Amino acid sequence: MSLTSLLNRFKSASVHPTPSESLSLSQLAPSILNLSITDTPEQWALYESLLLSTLRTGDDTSARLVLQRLADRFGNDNARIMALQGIYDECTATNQSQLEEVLKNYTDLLKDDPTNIPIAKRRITLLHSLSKKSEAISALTTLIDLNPTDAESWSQLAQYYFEISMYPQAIYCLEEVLLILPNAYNVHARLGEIQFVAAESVSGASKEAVEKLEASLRWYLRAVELCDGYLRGYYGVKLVTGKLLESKISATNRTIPEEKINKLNSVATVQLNDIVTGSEKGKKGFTGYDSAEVAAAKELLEATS
Amino acid sequence: MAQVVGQQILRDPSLFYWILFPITVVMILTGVLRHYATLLLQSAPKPLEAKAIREQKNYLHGINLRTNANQIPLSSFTSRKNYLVQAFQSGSFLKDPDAKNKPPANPMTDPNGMDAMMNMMKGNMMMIVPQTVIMGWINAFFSGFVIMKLPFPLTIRFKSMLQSGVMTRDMDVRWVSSLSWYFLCLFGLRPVFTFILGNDNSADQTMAQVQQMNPQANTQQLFGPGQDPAKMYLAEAENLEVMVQHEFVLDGIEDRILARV
Amino acid sequence: MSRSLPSKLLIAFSSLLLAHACYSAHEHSLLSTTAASQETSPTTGSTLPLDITLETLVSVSLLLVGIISSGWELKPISLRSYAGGVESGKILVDGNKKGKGLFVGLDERASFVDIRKQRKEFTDWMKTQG
Repeated sequence: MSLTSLLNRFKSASVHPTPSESLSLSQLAPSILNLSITDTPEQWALYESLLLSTLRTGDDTSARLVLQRLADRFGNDNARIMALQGIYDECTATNQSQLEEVLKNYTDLLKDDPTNIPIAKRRITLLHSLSKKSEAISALTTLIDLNPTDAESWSQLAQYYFEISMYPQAIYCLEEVLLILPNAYNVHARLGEIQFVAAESVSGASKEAVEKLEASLRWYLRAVELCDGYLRGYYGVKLVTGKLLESKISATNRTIPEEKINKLNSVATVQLNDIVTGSEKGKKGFTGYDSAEVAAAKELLEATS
Repeated sequence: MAQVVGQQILRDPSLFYWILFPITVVMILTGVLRHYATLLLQSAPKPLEAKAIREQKNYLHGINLRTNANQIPLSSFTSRKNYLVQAFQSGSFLKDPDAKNKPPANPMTDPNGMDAMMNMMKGNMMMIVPQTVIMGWINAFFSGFVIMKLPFPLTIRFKSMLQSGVMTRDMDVRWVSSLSWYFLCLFGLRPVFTFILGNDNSADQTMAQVQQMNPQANTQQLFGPGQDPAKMYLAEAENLEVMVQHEFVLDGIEDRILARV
Repeated sequence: MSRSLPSKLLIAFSSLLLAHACYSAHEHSLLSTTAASQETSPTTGSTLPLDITLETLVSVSLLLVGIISSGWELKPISLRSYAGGVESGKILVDGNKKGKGLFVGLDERASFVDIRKQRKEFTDWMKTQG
């Protein structure tokens, strides 16, 4: 297989692949390592993805070799190589004390060079996975204070806040992402999701809950406006409009008239139907949807019809 | 069409082998040599320190807020605006808040500026030194010959360029002296170098690759030497303050979506 | 890549017309120079007849119309249709078969990947596989 076709396989996989996917990717290791080193950016990108895949599946010998080649090319003091080395150390640590050792190493590295952002991000992840959530959040806010234009950090912070049910803070962080990437439709959808969950958390039919649901609906609509045929967006529209139409919500609390909500609901139903049927028949132009998402949409359609 | 009576000059064929050819070869070789010398001398740009990054990124944050204000609700925008305007005015993002009222540092003494200047100087030296040497060499050995005739006519304007070193007033412009051949090589060899050295910036390419592995090294300076960040922060605070119009994109979205179908 | 038949025909026809116009102009210039040399008056026959000029103009405009109408399908330039195409798998961005959205990096956040959790998931999965 050529370099580009190998790279494409890794690119099509997500950063969070399913176990069987990881296994097949990791099994590509010998063929990638046997390719001659051409010193192109693509090859090094491939090496990086391979390193993560082999670590996921526990193929530590291949991972060691890949890391060694990367370090030989870019040097051990390269920030990104340091982060990869850190990932390797995290994986090979077998007990708690070794993990603490890795964490201490990260902290020391950051003391020497506070601008080493890949290492800072690793440290935050490790803190979080060691269940030191508040420490992770405070480290992340320090990082954001250093670089408030990094969308990835804001997005991660939103996730952390969301996990501990601090919805207003999570929304604040995602709004920051929108200030950096105003067209990121998946962030709009995420905002819709968080507003929806926040609405669930307050008592059912109160004015506040309705406000949150409407805000959620609007974020979903914006996501759909920015991206045609966005499954997640239409799913949200359908879900939220269904919720708003439930009888227990009094019409006086709503600012969007009922007929519009009805219309939006039917629009979403039509779109979801299209996507579900198209995707199930494997029609051209519908192959990109995630099968789990399509199944969820189908379930929603069946539940409401 | 008036037939131009061509001047006939008999040239020794060894002029071709011993002048035209050597000059060309020497020019190409120096070009290659210069390329590798530049590669060797190039030093990686120094990464910024944390405070400088913070200063720049927070400035960009302000700009982002201003340009994409309509993406977030009015209340979110106002609270951010108030915070940033206050922080910008008090200079809490500045690298050294005490230096707010001092005049900007002299770019000659600023160490960051020195670095950039040093790099520029290196590059210029790599251009100037070989050029001077080779020009001197050609002048010393080969001046005063006519070595070739161009296959196309030219206007009289080109005489000084093509026949430098040969002071003959009436000679046809198409005759070319050795020094002129040097200049022609100097300006015309770029495609040849592209061919030999690969896509004329193989030096830049390797640099870009290392850079790509190093995403955080924000080496580029947002504030040029001589610019005063404190003043730019104040200006940005003012820009934010005068923003009164705010149209949230989500207003009326349901009508927009319904109008689409 | 949809080159429809009518536009192909139009291109062929207008190219022929253009070639004919060129040939006519060439013939005319030959004719006028020989005529001029016989009559020894340099002014006659120096203008091109109107029909050749018209033929040229018409053929060029027809050719343009033909080429434009035979052009490929236009690429989507609005974010909405482009992003939608990427999302649904209509548009493939560098060999990416699964429709990964344009901003998927914000959902995946590769720098924050919790590798230990994934490793654990994998070992658990391996155990279930036997």
